[in-house]
Amino acid sequence: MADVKIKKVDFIEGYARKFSEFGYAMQESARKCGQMTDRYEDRLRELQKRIDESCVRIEKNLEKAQKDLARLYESDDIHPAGIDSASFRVEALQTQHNTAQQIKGESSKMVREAHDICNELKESSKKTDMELQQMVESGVLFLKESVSNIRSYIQYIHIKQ
Amino acid sequence: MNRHIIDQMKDDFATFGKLNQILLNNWEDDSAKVFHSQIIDKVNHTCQQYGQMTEEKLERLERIAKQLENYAEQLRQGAVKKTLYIKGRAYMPGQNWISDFSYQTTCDQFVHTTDNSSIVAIVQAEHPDWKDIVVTSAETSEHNVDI
Repeated sequence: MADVKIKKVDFIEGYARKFSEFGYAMQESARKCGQMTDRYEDRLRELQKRIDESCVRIEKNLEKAQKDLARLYESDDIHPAGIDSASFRVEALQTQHNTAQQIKGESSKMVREAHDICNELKESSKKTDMELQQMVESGVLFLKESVSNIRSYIQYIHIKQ
Repeated sequence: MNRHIIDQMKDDFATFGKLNQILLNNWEDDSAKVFHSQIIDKVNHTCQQYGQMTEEKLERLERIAKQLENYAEQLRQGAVKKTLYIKGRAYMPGQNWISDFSYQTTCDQFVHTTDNSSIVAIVQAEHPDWKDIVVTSAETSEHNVDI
């Protein structure tokens, strides 16, 4: 009987070690997920910057084409084909500019959503890390108490024998 | 990177599940049941909820980042310019006769070098005081110029 109980104690103690290891591994994963959001935020900032810069360039292209066209109209010896060509450019760049503005609006919405997700993940990772810490501590304490109870029982059996 | 952490959590969780089953089979008393209901169930619930939520959110973040990369590339391609090399003749104020010119500028993608009037228009817009502009050659660089 006592042998069975001693085996049980060894088993529970072995389990307690693995239980703690699992808890710490999950806490570590939660921390890594939290840190990962920082890298996502850096990536999003960089992409937003690239999008904004391209939009500014597209706007400048359009402004320049509009200026070119206006100057052509002011000029008195331009061939009509030149006007047609410059008008086509303005039209094409205007379409491109409109598309760029739509993309900019859409990407701003997506970046806001991504920031919200990052904040949610950070909060949740922190909360899970803390909760797991408490659970592991409670679990280990419970297991220690159980082991202690079994040991007392083994002692009791020995004394009784 | 994302997948690595998620897979790691799933592996750890699966191992933990097997370990708990072995514990239940070997402990065999009421304390085991109490431990299970008071601790293991809570740990399982927390890990499952967190793992599922994290997987979904990271996948969404990755999709957003990929979409933004596509947008950024699409806009970059629309915004790039080429270097435009122009040669020709024009009457320039302050000079008594028509002079040769040769210069380079940048142009958007909607300027075609085969369209002579379009090139004349560019020269004229950049040099409004020049008269009788004739473009003899116009070439664009092979590579886009990021400005």
